[in-house]
Amino acid sequence: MAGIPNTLISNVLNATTPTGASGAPGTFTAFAGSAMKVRLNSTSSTASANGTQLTGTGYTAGGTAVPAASTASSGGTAVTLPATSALSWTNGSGGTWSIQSFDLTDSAAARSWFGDFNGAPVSIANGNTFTIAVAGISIGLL
Amino acid sequence: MSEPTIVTVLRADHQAGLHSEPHRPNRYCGECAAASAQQEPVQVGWVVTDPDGNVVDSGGVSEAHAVAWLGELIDNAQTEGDN
Repeated sequence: MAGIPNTLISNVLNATTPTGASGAPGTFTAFAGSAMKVRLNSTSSTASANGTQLTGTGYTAGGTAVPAASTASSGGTAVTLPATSALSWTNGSGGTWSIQSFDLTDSAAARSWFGDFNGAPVSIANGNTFTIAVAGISIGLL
Repeated sequence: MSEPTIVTVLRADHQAGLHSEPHRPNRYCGECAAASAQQEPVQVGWVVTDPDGNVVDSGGVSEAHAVAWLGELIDNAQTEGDN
């Protein structure tokens, strides 16, 4: 399963329907203003919860910040990330990483999107490096 | 479908008689089209490299689409309804 967490579904619905005072649109709960992060998981994320995050040397809990701004969506196009440079993690845990899914979060760990990696699970032996290429993740509503 | 240098190669194959279908001006024959699809680059989404930088595994772009998610949700609901 891949897509959008329940929290964001409700956030979007409430901000675009008359759930506010006197039938006005409700308030959109904004994400934190710093760089968003890509979090790696050994299990699939779901609409209600993150997957189980990787552990060990080479992985920082909470994920890694994206390097730059992605090209904004226009006319309904998908947004891809990371922009301008790849994201990499070198496994120094002493064991093998099995990477199943990612979560895109804000800098305060609030989730916006999630998905399984194409070809998951991806096995990363100790000493090897997992790299998400530029535009290696595509996020869209359609 | 764009027609870069790959087309020249395919047409050369075609003109060399390697394809059984007849030539159609400004269009691929079925075999040309199939070969072209195989040769078009697939965008890499992720790679795994060893300490020497050798690629040991790779995969395509990973996607998170709300509509896909909704479709899966409906499929799951239907499956549960059938059980």
